[in-house]
Amino acid sequence: MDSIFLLLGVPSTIALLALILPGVIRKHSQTTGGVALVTLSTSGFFLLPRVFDGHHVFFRKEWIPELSVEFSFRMTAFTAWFGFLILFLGGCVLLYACTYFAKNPRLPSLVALLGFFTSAMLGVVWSDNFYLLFLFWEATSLLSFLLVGFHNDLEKSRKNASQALLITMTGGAALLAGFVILHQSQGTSSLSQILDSSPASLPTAAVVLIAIGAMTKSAQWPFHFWLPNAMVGPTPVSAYLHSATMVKAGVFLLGTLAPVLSKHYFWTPALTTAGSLTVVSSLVRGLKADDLKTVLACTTLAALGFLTILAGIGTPAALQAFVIFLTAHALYKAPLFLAAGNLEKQMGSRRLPKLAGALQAIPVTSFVVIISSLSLIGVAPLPGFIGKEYLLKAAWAHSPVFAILVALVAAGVLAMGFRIIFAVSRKSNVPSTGNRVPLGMTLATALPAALSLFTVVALALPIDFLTDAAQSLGAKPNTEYEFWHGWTPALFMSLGAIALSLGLVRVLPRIVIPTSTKLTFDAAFDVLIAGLRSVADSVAGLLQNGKLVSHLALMLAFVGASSFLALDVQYWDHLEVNWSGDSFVFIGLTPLLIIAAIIAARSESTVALLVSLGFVGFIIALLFLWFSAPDLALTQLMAETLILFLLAGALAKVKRAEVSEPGLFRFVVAILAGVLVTALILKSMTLEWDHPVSDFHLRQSKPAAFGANVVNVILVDFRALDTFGEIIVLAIAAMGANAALGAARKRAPLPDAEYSSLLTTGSQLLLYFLVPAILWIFWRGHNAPGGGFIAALLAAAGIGMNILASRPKYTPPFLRKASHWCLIIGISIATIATILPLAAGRPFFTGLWVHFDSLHLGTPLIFDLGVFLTVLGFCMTYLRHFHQRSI
Amino acid sequence: MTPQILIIACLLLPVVGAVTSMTMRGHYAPALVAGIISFAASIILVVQTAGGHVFALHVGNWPAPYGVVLVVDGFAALMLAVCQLVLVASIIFATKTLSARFRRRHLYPLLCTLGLGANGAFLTGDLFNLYVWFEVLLLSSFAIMAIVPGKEARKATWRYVVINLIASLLFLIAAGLIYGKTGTLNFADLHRLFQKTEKSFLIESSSALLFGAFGIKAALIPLAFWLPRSYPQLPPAISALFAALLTKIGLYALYRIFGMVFVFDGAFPHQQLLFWLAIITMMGGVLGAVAQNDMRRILSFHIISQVGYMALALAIYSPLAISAGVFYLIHHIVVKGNLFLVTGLVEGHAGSSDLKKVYGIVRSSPIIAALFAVPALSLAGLPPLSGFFAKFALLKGSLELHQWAAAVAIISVGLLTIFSMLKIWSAAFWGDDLPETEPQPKVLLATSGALAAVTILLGLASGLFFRLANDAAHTLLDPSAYIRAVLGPTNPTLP
Amino acid sequence: MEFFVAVTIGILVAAGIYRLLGGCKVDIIIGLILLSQAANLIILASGGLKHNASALMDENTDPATLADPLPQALVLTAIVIGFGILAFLLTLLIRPSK
Repeated sequence: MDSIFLLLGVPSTIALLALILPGVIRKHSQTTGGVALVTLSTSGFFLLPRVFDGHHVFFRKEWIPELSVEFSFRMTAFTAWFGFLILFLGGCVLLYACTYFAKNPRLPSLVALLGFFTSAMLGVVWSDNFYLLFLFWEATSLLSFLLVGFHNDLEKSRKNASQALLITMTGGAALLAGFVILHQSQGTSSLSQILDSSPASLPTAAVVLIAIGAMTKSAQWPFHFWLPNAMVGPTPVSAYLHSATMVKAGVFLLGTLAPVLSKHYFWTPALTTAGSLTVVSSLVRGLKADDLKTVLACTTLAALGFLTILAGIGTPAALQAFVIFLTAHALYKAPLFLAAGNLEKQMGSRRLPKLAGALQAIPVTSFVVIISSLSLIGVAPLPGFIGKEYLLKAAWAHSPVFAILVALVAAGVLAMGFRIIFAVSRKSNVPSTGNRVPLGMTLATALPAALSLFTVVALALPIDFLTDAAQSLGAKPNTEYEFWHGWTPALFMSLGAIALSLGLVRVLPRIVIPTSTKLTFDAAFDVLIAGLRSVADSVAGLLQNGKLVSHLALMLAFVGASSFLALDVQYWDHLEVNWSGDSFVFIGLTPLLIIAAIIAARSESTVALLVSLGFVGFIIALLFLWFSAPDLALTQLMAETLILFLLAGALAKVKRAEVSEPGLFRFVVAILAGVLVTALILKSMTLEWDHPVSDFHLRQSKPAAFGANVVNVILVDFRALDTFGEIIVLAIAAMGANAALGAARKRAPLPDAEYSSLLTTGSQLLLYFLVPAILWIFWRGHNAPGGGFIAALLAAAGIGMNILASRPKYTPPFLRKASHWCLIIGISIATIATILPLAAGRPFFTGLWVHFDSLHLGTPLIFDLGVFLTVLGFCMTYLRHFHQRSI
Repeated sequence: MTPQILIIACLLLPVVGAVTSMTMRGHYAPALVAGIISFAASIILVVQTAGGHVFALHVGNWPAPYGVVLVVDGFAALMLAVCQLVLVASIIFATKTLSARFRRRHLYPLLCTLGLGANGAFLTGDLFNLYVWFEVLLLSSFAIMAIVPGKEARKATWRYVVINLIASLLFLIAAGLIYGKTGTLNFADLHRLFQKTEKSFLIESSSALLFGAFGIKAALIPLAFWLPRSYPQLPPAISALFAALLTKIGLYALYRIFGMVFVFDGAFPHQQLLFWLAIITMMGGVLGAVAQNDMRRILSFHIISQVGYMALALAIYSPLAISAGVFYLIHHIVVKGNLFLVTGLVEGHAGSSDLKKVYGIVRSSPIIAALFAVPALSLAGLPPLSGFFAKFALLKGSLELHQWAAAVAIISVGLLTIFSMLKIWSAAFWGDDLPETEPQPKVLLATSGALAAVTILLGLASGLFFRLANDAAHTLLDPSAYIRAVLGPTNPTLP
Repeated sequence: MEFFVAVTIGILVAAGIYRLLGGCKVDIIIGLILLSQAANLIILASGGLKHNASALMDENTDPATLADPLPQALVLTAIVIGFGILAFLLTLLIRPSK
């Protein structure tokens, strides 16, 4: 791999060190800053050879091939130069931050954030894969959010940071979608391949979405308002965000893609318009502003607007202008911002009128401010001058009218630069009130300005400085930057703009700019958020408020409707309803069931309810019996009895709330549900289908599973896993009773007088009589109706009688223990029955059998014993709880 | 170790854990040990199933489809692993954050059975058996909810229980009807049956009922009314587990049944229905979250919106989308569980999860802030965390098929998710110092940190994990390996 | 015969739903009891109904003449599970309010 890309990790390493050793950073903050500056700028100098050599360097490693996401980087002369700027300015900013926040305990986290941010920005510039670029792109958004919100104890800071994040993340989402569409249409997710292929047709959606993504990041109109608000961040952060990072990521992307995407009809008009409107709106806000940082933020907006215009024009000339303009802006904006911090510290304020006398009080910084502002204005030979010349030249080539327009708005921007110069150089007799500015801050401020001057020298020398960089972005090959082009329209416009701006500064105090306009976008954003909140409130209300009954009705209606629509009646001629058979039993049973069900549905009195429910259960048991399901009938009867017993106990305790549901609605829903279910059953029953599975069960039950009662064999052998789950359910239900009602209270047994001795003796006898019956039912289960479950319910009934009779032995603690251990032993036995076969080398749950002539003993019987005990434990738990509650 | 032994381990260890815990007066250790061992077992299963291998365990040695069959494929193994992971984390949190009341009332045995229900649901290859495991899972969750004291908690429990019982009844009825019409309950057999026959319309009305049942469990709007009121009432150690598992098992069932078993063009347009329900669920859930001012509530609503994403993946039903959906499930279980656990840390640290009362945690405990940030950013879908790749794959999948509505929903809901995570961050984590804070036990920080590390790992090594998800999706879309493992190389007919 | 069974179950379902939508807890419990009974009948009915053909195998019984045992086994499991769940539901009804 090309080790040059390891430089990406250098700032992150500093960040990690800051996180690991916060104490060292706090103690030696100044040294840290110095080390950071040296490290980062040294790393940056490694990049300079790449700027001159002009070769593209690649690094590629697979990441997620299914999604075409890969670790692939590319470095061109331009991105090497950009990387150098990022690293160098990052070093200056870190030095500044370490001096500025020398006493702040949160310095380590600031260093860490700045370090990661630097890496992320390098990643944006160097990524070749779209999605890798997007990763770094989002990282810069997120980290800048944390940086801007560094003073997060202030409400305003939190609010503005959030605003910036929301807007840039919205753009990020658009960018991702744009990348995906571009990837799909071009078949590659590599930036360099897209640039090389120069595709013929581009999907409009991709172009629009990518442009939106870049424009939010670079704060282009109509997303421009977040940038001035982001000034709440600490000064070094603002300096960095505005000069080489964050906002530059957007224009970087625009510039990089311009050679390809500018072929699309949408690109040029949209970007030049947005760029111009951005410049105009920066003037609206910045021309009259007093706060130095606000003025600087507005000049950033303007510069970004110009860069967007250049990317929008997208011609080789425009891209050549793009590179030098971007360089010039980075190198004058960073010192200006850092100087703003110095001035604030020294002069006690950063309002322009209060800066008078700065030249005497803080000469180095003031000198840097003046040099940088001159570069901003575009005075020869500073880099800003070349940037402006090439801008106007490219604009003129694009359209002379547009160029004049650009020059006119540029005049406004220059006026802001002049205001700064005048403010700083004005003399004052009042001595400054602030503190001395430490050396580190001054140094950090002066270094970028020095680089600015160095660039001038480099451009003046006969070496191809930045030529390769411009060419790698898409400028014409071998066109060097020149200071002098002769008396071109660009020069005249430039001079005119300077003159105009000087005039503008004069008349500015008399111009009134309506203050309301600058707030419009902020206000609109707030309205948008408020609107979102109110929509959200109503949605949340719909989801979480409202009665259970209406929610139930809605859900049932939904499921019912979808099932009804799927009934597919047109196929029904294939099906024939079977009217034959012995229906006489229904003449008796069905009306009774219907009447009982209706009474159960309507009755309000406890007795009628219990009787009708019992009746319904009883008739269903009869139906089971009629339809050859004796096991079901028995189980149904027993379970129904126990449930009604519990229900009776519960109803005695519960006061019924008044019901005021509208009867008709209920009625309609109920009838529809009934009709639907009837139709479903008819559709299901009228179909004759082979049932090979149960045929297998019937055939194999006797020979392979040694049981004649196939239902029971299915339960304990063929589908024993279901039964295993079922007893677990019962055990959970038993634990659930304890969970809901609490453990048994250690209550003394009831006094002797309270129970009749006859009943006690009787119930004891009953239990003894029951034992053989229980054993018999348990045993016959495999061959005839019966089995562990029914036996356990019978045993429970006996125990229930004893509890009712309040035999002294059956105290709550005893019952608690007994039921507890029944459950434990029951489940353990069942589990052992499932794994015994494993010990014998047979698969899980296989029945192991021992045969004594016609007697077959096997693990399914052990399993059934587990069922028996678990069910018994379950029943005892509930009997205890409900008995306890009802006395 | 053969996969069959591991399947048995995943099924029986929770039982052993529950029983042992019951004998030890509800001690946590057995549950924890059982959870850790079954996690290890499921990791081995993940390795063994990688590459699209499927293993079946014919319970009782009865050939399929005559007995119940347990099957492990890539999808099931991945789900097993992440669910066990969250279960273990949640048990650790429960030991440190819950009162003795919970232990006395069988919390740990119930946690074991909850895990058992989940494992069973993932492993089973039989419709009715799935019903049984659902009941195990549900009843455990009911019982655990019943432990939580307080009037609001009671109301919420009632609502949760009733709605889920309706879902169970729907499931039961559907299973019965489907058996009546097909004569089989085995997934592989059902799939084979409907490949051969034109009579798919026969089970469409019943599959609509099934869809409703799973939709309720997965909390698709308009079937999600049980969720927003109940989860915020639970202590975070519990809600982490519920949030991670319950709805996702509903989704798993949707994937298994409507992604693998009942795949045909019929009159029940489950795909279109699911598509629009998913979008409504995404939007509704996230808007609900935006309106809340309490971490527990915000996170609860986010479950709904995230469920929508995963349902959308199933509705789009392309290989890429299903892979995205599987990856999403894996990612989401870890992230959602962790977010609730971090809420527990915040509550322990600052005394509340109400955004109006908590502030400045980034100053008082940067560790908790970082522990929140990782899963929150992952949930919001920021690269390089797992959530980004899940959403990104889904976005790609939908744009590939020109599903513009889906793409718009994916992006806008993602933004709204960021919005509400931002709200939590700027209210609870930023701001002045809190007057009183409580340092949190190291073991809890480490637990949450481990889950965060998994999230990061899922993102950074997403090449590997996406391939696993891809294999799992492939098994769903082309279940020939599944059918071979279950029914044997030659399709058995009557013996 | 099938038609009668279907109508009967339909009415049982209607009664259950009507009760379920009554609004108070007791209503819901009774509704659920009725509905789960209906569900059991649905499973049995959809597997095919046979009179006087209990699934008790002898050496020489023809399986085709017997009732399908599998739905019966399913219903049995369902009854037991429903039983456990309803019992638990009742504990929620009688929880002491503090």
